[in-house]
Amino acid sequence: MITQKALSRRTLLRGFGTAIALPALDAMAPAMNSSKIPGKTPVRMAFVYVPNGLDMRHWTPTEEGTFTGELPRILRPLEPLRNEFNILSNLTQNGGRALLDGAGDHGRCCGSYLTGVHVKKTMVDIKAGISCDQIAANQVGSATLFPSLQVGLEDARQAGDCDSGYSCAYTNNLSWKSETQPLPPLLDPRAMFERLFGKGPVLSPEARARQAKYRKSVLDHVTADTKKLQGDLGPTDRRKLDEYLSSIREIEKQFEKAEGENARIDPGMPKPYGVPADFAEHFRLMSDMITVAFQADMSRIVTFLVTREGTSRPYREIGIADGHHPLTHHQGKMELLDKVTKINEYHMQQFAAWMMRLKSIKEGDASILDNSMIVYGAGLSDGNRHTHEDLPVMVMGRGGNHFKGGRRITYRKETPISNLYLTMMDRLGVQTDDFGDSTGRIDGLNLG
Amino acid sequence: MVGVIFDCDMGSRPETALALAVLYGLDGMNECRVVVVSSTRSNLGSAAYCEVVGRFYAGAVSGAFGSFSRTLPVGLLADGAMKDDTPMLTVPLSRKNAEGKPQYEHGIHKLVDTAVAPALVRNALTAQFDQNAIVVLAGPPTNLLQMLKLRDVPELVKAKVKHLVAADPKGAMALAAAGWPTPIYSISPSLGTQVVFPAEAVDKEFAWSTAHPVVDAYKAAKAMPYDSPTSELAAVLYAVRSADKAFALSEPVNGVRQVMLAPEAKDTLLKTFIELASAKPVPKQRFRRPVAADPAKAKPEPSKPAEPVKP
Repeated sequence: MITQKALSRRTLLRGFGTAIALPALDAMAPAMNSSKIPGKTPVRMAFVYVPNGLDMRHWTPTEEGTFTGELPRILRPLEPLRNEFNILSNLTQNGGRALLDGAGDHGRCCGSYLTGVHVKKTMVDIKAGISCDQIAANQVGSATLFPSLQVGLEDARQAGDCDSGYSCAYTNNLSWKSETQPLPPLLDPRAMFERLFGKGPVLSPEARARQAKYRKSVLDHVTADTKKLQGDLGPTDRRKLDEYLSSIREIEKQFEKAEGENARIDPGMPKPYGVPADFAEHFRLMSDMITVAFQADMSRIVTFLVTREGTSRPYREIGIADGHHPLTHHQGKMELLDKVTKINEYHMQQFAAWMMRLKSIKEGDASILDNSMIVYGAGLSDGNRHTHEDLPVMVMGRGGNHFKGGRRITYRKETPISNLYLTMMDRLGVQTDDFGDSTGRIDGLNLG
Repeated sequence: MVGVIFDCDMGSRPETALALAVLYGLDGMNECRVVVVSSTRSNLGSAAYCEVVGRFYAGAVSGAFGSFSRTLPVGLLADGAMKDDTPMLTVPLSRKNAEGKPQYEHGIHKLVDTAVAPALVRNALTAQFDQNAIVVLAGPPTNLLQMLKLRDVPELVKAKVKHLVAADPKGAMALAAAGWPTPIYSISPSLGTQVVFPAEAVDKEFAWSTAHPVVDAYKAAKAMPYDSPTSELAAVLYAVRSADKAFALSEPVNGVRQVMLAPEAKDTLLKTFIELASAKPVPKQRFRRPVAADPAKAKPEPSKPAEPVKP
């Protein structure tokens, strides 16, 4: 159905305490141009951070340039997406190095990861720098309901000593609104869901538990608006809307399942209400909600701290009872190193599944993944030696038909990773001459 | 112990190889640490040769950086067409040992094996104590001028760098004009020609090693025998031993003071150059003795004589 009047991109399905944004629909385009996304296609920027460095033997492709052979072990879950990402070698985060401050590489590397500065060694008067996602959020975030989103899966403590005199604020946050104000990641899927779709006050875990017991679905609150909208849409848009609302309902079902399982599973650590005990389930829930936020253009900027830097979380889900951090100090023992690789693979499997979902969601002639630039990486390279050069860096997505994928690009040594962030901010339309310790933009990512 | 950043034009003049040898000689005597070496000669061989010399003396280029005494790569200017190879680079780099393998190992085969010089030097400075770094310029000031334009670098230099010594007055003047924020010294052109490094010393004083990359470079650079000027050697020596009585200072002109030869110091200075340039490699120590308050009086404690290193 082609209407003469375009549906607003900002249309919301409203109900009691609920406001659900919509995905890009053909009806939002001007008449006779229904195959195009209205206006400029949004480009998303996300940072997905994994802790404790990676087993670089199984991360870096041996060949330069286009991927030709089998991908390294850690990257293998991304085989179906091999042309959608680039591996960038030799990027350095100098701010993560000791620089006369002694031990504490985990505290420093996470605090400096997106800020590009050398953080102050302290547990009290914390000082880092404004992170690149927040510079972007300040300049272009007003285009969306949420200028940026901060998501995590593990620990959001903001005080105490998390590494040799470094505050937990450094190891447990990626985003910094100012040099003294970190933005803690949201860990609880239901709190995230309510943030995205409910406009009422955030309830206490207990109150939410009571409410959840009786509530059916957030979609029930917007039934009237949904029916009215469906009547105005063509068959393609009706199918898109149905798939979108189904994905929201699917997230709710995952909550119900996870909350039910939480009553039976002892995760071995304190968790707030609603956080699934199962790591993969938790990852799936949070990444699904980021997907919906991207789909409905509720936010274009996300940081995702998979687990806190320096974490000693065991991975019993895959048969590893040892803590992640102690394992990374393997001192070359192959049996320990192999467990580190397995954890790296496990993280990548979750990430790959998410990226494939983003690839499957169409947005005009492209996909959400095509219109995204998602950095996956760590603040350390070799977790055993705590190295801050040749960091593991992947850029997934085409940044709005801007980046050419499927390659390993090696830069000259000591090239700051801040140069990558500056290049990405350019792509997002952020106006800034420099960032952190940048020395310029990076080349080689672009098409052609 | 003061850290030295050595930015040179390796491959253009044999004097530069001798100057680097003098620097490692001072490092071996625990009078300084070689923090980083970079070159403005856009040529892979230039960086590779710097690494060869570093490995010859120290096992790997540069000193403690960050934790665990990790080393830094060699910096190289590479913002245009690559410059031609020169014999003083190609001859030592292509020399083979008895087994037909390279006489001198290095890890620089592609441009990405080198570091971006301005970022490298900036990063190295961030790891130095305040007023505990010295910069020696033995070539055009391109790398340093580029570094000076980076954000917050003038403040960083002011905090970390005690002084800069340039072998060439032109480089010194260019840096002064660009606002280099700490004292600048340049070697008087006359000093470099008054004191020349004799060819016979290259033949005799390095004889303890059957294969020496500095000797190989020197002999390949020009037809032997020839003597070399010593401005770059003097820049290194003055940078570390600024109280040495072999030197005298001019009044500052446009922010630069010239380092001149003190009266009757020619022989002493030449002897020092030869001793330092031909010094044997000293195995790296994890912990070092503190530097003496007066470097001129500093005498290295008698220690076990260094074993000749099999290059």
